[in-house]
Amino acid sequence: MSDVAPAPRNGRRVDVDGVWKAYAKGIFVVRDVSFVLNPGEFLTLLGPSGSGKTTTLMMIAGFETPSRGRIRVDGRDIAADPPDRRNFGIVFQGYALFPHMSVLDNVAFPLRMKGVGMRARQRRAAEMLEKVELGALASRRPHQLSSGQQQRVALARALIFAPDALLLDEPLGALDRKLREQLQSEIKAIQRRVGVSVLLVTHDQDEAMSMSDRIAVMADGEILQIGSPADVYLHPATPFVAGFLGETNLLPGTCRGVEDGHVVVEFRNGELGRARIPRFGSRPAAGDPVLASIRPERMRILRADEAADSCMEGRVVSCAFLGRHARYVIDAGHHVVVVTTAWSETAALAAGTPVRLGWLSEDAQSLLDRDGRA
Amino acid sequence: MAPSDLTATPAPRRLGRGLLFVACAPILVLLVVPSLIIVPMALTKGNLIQFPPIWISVHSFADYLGDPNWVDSTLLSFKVSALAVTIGGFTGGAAAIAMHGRLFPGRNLVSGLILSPIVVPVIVLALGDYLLLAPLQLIGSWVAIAALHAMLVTPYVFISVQTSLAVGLSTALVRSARSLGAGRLAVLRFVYWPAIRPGLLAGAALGFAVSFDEVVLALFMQGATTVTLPVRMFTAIEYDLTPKIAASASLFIALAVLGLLVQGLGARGRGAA
Repeated sequence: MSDVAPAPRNGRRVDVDGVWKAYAKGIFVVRDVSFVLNPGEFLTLLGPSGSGKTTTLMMIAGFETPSRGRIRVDGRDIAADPPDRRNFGIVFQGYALFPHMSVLDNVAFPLRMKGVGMRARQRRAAEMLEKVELGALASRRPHQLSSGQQQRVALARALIFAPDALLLDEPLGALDRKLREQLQSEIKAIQRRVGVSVLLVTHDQDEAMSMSDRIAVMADGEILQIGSPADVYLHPATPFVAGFLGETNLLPGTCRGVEDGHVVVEFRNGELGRARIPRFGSRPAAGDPVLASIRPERMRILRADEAADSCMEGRVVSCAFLGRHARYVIDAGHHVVVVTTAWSETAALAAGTPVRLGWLSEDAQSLLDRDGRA
Repeated sequence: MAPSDLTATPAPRRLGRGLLFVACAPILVLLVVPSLIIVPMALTKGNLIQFPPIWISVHSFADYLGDPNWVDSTLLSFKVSALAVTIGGFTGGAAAIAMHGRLFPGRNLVSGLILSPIVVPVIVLALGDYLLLAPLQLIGSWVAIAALHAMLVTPYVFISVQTSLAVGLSTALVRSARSLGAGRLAVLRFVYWPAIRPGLLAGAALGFAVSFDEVVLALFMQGATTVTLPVRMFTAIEYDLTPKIAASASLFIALAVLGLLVQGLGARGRGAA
């Protein structure tokens, strides 16, 4: 009982160190994953399904055993602890509230498991429910609540025993977009109020961008890049990261060397262009296959008198009106390029119109095309 | 079905329902009438079970309740069924929990083995059990009858608990309890128990019915003081055709109706929860 502090703590440092996981011999679903969850930090494991992010979370929670590697909390290896002896608050997809218990009993459950007496745990559960503004619904059953309220109960239940960290396993995965955005800000607000560290697993890049202090992008069991949302968006380390976070044009070509601090790329249509040297990924050398990543909102359709650092000729294939902006698909010979521009009815370009595309060197990111994964 | 639904039903649907009723009615009659015909037969004035009865007397009920042999058999049947359901509820429930969400080699074999008492002809079971238990001097033991009945009850409980678990229990629920500090026993109590309770009750009720009117095993295992009610009825039909048979059969029907009522109320309670 002494280990249940009444006041919320900021969580502990969780160290995931060189963790591998294989379900069958030699087939790894998690490969050499390492990261640190710092006290009070909001870290997101972002990746498509099958990228190993949930398996990683479940190994931290204790429901899966790593094949190799260590997981430490404040320096102590927790490999031998079963899930109920680890001190993580977990929120599952669908929330997994106990259907036969009242909201109050759900929130008091962790304290009951720790041997806190009936009165003390009910009082503290009621306090916790006040914190998430559900005090009035304490005697309801979970199925009588909206999904937003259920999420708050799940958070209250996961936070009441002052966990070392909060682990969120796609908690918003099954909800519609509008509700999801609302609940994202709720999670964020509660996290700030309590000051707990959070490890979120999601496949939704908007969710990751809007909530996280840092994002670890995962694919095929590996962490490809870990950094702030701005870093991974603006300075992707691999073509996959560039494509997974937001839409991008990945134009294949060959590196023709470095000039004035920029990589010179020869594209398949023979034109030359410039792009930034990668800040985080491998630096391409002359002769290497590379991809230039240019976001649709950074690619421009040039007027006759306009100039840009790099240019490319093309022809409009289609134009779609998306409300705030227009989305053009342009055939630039060997490359199909997507461009979004501010919508203007008079300037709308018909299919077949020849155009000149251009971009600033600072808006293009060169990426080593190591295995053609784009 | 609300009346407004019926008025809103288009004509072809109504015709379909009518045809369905016409097709089902004879089957319903065939199923129910033989069960119900036994009740008037118990009200005969005569000393033989017959149809139509000689109206009207309740002496068969008085005879039935006044005959210590018949009363003992009735009490024995309750005792045997209660023990059988207790054992079968435990084994069937435990098996369903143990196999829930687990994949292991031979899983289908194990589950087939648990279900086999439903499939294997009871007469084969009875003969095998007789040959096995006779040398052990267990023929005539009511506990032995209950144990064999428990084997019949187990698959019913197993199936209905399995269904309850599939509906009411997810891996996330178990994992969430574990992460909140629940050890294995606490998970059993707070997660599994509420989830299996409806299935356990339904399976136990069905199992009780199966055990209470089981005649073949009980016939093979009977001793001088361990004649269950169905066995006594069976013997009486062979020898004296007393209307006590009809009187005790009416008891069976009353029990069945009670069981259906309990189940119906239970289902309604679950629906409201």
